[in-house]
Amino acid sequence: MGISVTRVFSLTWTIAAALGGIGGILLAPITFVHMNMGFIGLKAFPAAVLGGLGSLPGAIVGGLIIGVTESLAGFYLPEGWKDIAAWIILIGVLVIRPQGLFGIQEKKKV
Amino acid sequence: MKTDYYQDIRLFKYRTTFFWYLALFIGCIMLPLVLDEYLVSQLTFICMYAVAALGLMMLTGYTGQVSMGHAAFFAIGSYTSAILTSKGVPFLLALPAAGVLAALVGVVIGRPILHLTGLYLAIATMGFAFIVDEILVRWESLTRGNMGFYVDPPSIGPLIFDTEIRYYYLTLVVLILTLFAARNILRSPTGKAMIAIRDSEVAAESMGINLAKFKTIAFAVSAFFTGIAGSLYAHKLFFINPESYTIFLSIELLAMIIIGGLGSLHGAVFGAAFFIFLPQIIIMTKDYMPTYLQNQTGLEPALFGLLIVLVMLFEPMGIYGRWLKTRFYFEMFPLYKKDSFKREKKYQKAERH
Repeated sequence: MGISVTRVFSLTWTIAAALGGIGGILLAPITFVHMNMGFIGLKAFPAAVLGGLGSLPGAIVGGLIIGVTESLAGFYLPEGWKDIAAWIILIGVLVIRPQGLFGIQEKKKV
Repeated sequence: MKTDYYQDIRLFKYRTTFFWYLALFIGCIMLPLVLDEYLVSQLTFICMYAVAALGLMMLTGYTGQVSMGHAAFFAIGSYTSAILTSKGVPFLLALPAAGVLAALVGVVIGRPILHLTGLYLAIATMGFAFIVDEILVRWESLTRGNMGFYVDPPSIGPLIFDTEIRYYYLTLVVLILTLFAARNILRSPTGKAMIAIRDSEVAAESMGINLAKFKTIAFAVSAFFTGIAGSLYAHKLFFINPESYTIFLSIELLAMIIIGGLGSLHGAVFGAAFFIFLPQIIIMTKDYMPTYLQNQTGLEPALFGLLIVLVMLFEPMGIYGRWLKTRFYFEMFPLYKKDSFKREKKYQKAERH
């Protein structure tokens, strides 16, 4: 169809890396900058999956839900719940809606 | 020549294969005679990780369900075995109990997330691993939390596995039993159903395969093997705490089977060997490097990462793929062409193990 696959792929990677970098810039002032910062990426995964992969509003809503849950759990629930509350919600949502909140159910082709 | 349908599902394809494996087995038994104790303990780790990787291979390599939560099953196996043996249960019972409990948890967690696919499944299992990890830290009355748990060397009757060599034989026997079980499952109708699900869920379902049932079985078998490996791990290290079962272990297991070659039992063993021996080899070759490289901090992890990337770039099918290609080259010796392997591969897509 005339689309340069290599170019599109490198462009996607560029945009993804740039957005991740911006996230890092915003995060750095409120936490420490350290070697294991990459672990925050593990929180980006559930955010994207919760909202539904391939959906931009999904990513925003998913990120909000994960972040708010984590803060609320850290404040109201006993110690230890902070880290897993988001995961419990994620698994709960996925059990009910396997494609995430805003994801589109893909039609399978045989 | 094929004269019988049962030839397709024999345990060993040819009679010669059996003798090669027998030779390999005898070789493995003889190894501690020539290697020093440190290397023997590394071999033990290979056997142990190979068992866990085999578990993940059954699920990811043969049923096509990606799991990033196998550290949880590993941990459940470790803690079950450690707690049971500390209460006086013999190791011979604690070992299968570790596998059975892991399998039960596998069914409980696998059942509700059966209809997830791909990345969604990976993330859900990863969340499960985080939850198990947190439970291990917080359930202090049972697991002693971050303080850790001391484990005694295992014993069967009067035989105590307290030296490196004895423990190596124990893990080797468990590995062989696991391989045997895995191979037998794979040549049974259950195994064929699992492979069918991996190749196409829709096609498998339309052939009358009950997706939920076989995916649950795959989860259970996979968790069982991984739990057994976890039990061996606990009794090898004598000390376990939740820090050993983080997301890194899950990723490492996944990386093992991908580098070894997805969809082959050999691959699980190759992958485990790769992950244990490569860092050793890097340290050994360090002596031959220029001085400015030797003094570089973080050289080993960097080289290790680089080698993983290179293997994946040049051998997308993993080490087992390279093994097959080499074998095929010698079988076809003068007639081998680059593309002949590809054609062969496509023809037997559902048969790679």
